[in-house]
Amino acid sequence: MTEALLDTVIHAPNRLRICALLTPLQEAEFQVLRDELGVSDSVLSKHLKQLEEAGYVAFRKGVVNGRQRMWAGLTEPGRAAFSGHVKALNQLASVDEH
Amino acid sequence: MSEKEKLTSGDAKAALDSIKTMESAGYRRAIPSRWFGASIAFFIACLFALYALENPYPYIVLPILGIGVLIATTREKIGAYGRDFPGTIANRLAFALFATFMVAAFFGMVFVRRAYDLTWVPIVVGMVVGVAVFLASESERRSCIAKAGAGQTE
Repeated sequence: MTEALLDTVIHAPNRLRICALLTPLQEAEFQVLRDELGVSDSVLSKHLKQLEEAGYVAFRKGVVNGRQRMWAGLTEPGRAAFSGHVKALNQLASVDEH
Repeated sequence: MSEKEKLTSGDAKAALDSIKTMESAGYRRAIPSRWFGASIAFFIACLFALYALENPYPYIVLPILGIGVLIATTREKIGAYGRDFPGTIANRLAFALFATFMVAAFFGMVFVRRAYDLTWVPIVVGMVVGVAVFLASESERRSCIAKAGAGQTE
């Protein structure tokens, strides 16, 4: 069996949670991500930037009612990397069961 | 990767639990309201029913505009929205069948209306299509609620 590898970018707990939250979604607003993760704006920005640099997350900016809003969504490489990471975690988790 | 060697199966299980929790949160955010489905169904029913008019074309833009505004405002209000085309083959097949039904209903209705001049046909077909769209939106809603409860990945 081919062994799946953990992704170093996704591995950090907050980035893992960001990817998991975005998996069933097309896009989510910055505030939604911040509220669901329970982190500050700066912490979220830092993690999103790292995911963006890896090509896993793409942003869209827009103005709603005169307010600047930012939307984030997983890219196709991001979805593939997250899927591979989950596969690797499942393999690790099943070690005790064998 | 070296980190894999450091991770225990307990760590991996904790990470997988965290993933399930966040996926549930994502599905919860994407649950469309019943009013959203009902409004979309109403606009689509109107789009069909307009063909009861002698010249429906000047008014067709209204339900289309209504659907566009409704989707845009709902997305802005909720702050998140689900993937338009979920990856499973069953979901794609269901979508293709539903789209085929809609297209067949539309062209069938236009043909009958023009060939036999039956003004009530677009109204009846509009009602049937409206109910079908509402039931499909309810099915999607229930699916989202179930996934939000289970933290299931597509």
